[in-house]
Amino acid sequence: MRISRRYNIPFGKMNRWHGFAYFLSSKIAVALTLFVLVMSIGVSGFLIFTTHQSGMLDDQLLNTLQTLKNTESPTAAQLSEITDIEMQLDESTFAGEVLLSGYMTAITITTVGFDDVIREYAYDFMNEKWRRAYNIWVTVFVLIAYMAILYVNANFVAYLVGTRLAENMKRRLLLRNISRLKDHYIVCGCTGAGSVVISEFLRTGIPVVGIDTGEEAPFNLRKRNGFLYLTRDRSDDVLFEEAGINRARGLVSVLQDDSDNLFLTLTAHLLNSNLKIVSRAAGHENEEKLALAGADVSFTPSIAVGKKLVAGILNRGTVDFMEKMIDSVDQNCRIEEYTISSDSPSIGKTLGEINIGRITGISVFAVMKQNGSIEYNPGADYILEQADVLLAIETPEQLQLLNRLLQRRKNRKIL
Amino acid sequence: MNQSDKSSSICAVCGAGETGLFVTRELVRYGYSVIVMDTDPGALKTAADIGDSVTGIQGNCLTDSVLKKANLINVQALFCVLPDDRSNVFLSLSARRINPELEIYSVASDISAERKLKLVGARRTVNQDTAEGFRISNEMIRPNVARFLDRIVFARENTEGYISIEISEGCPSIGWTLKKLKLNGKTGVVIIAVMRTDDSYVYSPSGDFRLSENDKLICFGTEDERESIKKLLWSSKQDRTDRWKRLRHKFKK
Repeated sequence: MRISRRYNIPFGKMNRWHGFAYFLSSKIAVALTLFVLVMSIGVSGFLIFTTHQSGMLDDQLLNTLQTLKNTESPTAAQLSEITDIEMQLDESTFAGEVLLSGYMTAITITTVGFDDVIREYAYDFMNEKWRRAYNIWVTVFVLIAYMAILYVNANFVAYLVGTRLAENMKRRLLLRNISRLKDHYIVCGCTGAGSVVISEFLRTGIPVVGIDTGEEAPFNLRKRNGFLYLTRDRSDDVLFEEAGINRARGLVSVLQDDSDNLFLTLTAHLLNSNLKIVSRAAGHENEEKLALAGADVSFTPSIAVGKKLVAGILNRGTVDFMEKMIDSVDQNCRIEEYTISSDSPSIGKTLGEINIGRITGISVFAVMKQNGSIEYNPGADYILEQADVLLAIETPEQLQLLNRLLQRRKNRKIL
Repeated sequence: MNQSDKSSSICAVCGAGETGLFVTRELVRYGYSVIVMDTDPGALKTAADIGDSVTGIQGNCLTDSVLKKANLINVQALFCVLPDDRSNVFLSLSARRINPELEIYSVASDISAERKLKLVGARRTVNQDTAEGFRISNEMIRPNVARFLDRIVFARENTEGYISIEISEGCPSIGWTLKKLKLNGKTGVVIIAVMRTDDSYVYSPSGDFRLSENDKLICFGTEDERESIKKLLWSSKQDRTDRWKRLRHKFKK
């Protein structure tokens, strides 16, 4: 057993000097030493100067006393002056000087200052006992009060900076930001595949709330615009409510453990049955269970990898291009889709009327129809129908522009 | 490479984990005969159950003796799906030494490993996290695009819909802009990208895009449309310039 961890000395070999050294190395010992040092420097300094001056004063007083006593037939005023000087000479004892310099030191280091009211006005009316009592009281009071206030300050600041208050404020701010989100996605698991998912969402301009066990968001996502991170430190129901699951559009669960994914899927499905849930199933046999728990799509990662591997050998030219178009990290253009909803004002209009190409710079190269057939290269006279899916290469900004264009009731004429 | 050639060719899969088994199943489906290598006899048995064209070799595929047994000289492609990057790099290197013509496809778990595999001569590396992540996000944001591309990439027959036309040497259209060629106006086809000689792409090329040698035009369409583009691109230059002259003549008049 080791008593002193700092010096690592076995218990049996401890002597009193070890204990003393250990005490000296502690913070309170340093504080006490410093305090004693400051006080002693202050007291000695003030003592030197006051005694020096009072010594000079004493010499002066003795001289005047001598001359007064030497005068023959002194007047009443002179007599009273003699008693006065004798009293003053009696009062200036060494203890009194020490006390006074202690007082001076105390009010100096606590920055109280030299001009206190009592000394200015009431000091002259006190007798020696009262003056000493006053000096002692002020010295002790000022020092204790100063330490007390330092203690309070230090602890209060520490509380503000290091503890719950700051954390709570941060969390409240975060929750307020989340409460403003709508149609966002929730991603459980922010490392590996999760981080790829999140950055792809963010690139497309979709807000994401990430949930993971880590204290802070992973480094590569920390400063990304539109990404909010929740630590998984409370029950999943509460966490999902905080993440705004009622307003969310979808949930992605890519945790390592299948049972975790299953549980999250089930919880999310119970809280919001309209949610689109995609979940990972590490084992192939768990896909069905996840579907039963409410996952719309469940898949094994090995299939994603295997598919890409096999695609390489099948149609080489196509695959190279497709790769670039759908999942390259350093590439902003993607093949994007736009689905014509049932209440879209664009139904029945031709592509030429809407004038997509001229306004957005996008050329629609294919339309997927509701029945699954594909119409390549639709011309300007192609009439849009419900549930048509327009396919085009575009950047996220162009996609937003297209969204606005197709939602517009009236098409302005472009000259 | 045509269909009959494919069926006779052999692929080797190292590692019969879940990914390995999936790859084997897909390859068998597309008519390849597959050699599976793994240390675990149980996994090999599952692999052998997939089809008759699967042969299993038990042993550590990082040793040359096992690779020799697989007779890599006759193999067209090797799939490295071992669980860690180091073995995949090592395997690629030793396989490349045996057969310099081999196409190597490998999984990798991070970018540095991918770079090393490329250096060793892997034709294609697949990052697990990226593959999975993009699959999920595509499923969420653009499910139809994913389906569309899957349909094109995994088409059994000749690639349906995907057209890529190389502007080979001597093509009369070299030096012409797309606007002047009236590619869109005449055939109705939208050129979605052009691949330059340095493998970079130009997306949605504008009308002022000037064709140069070895460019590859990429678009989607039917077989008829492919023919009509080809015809347009290879119609002789003399013809076109004559037409321009005629027009200018008309304009002057």
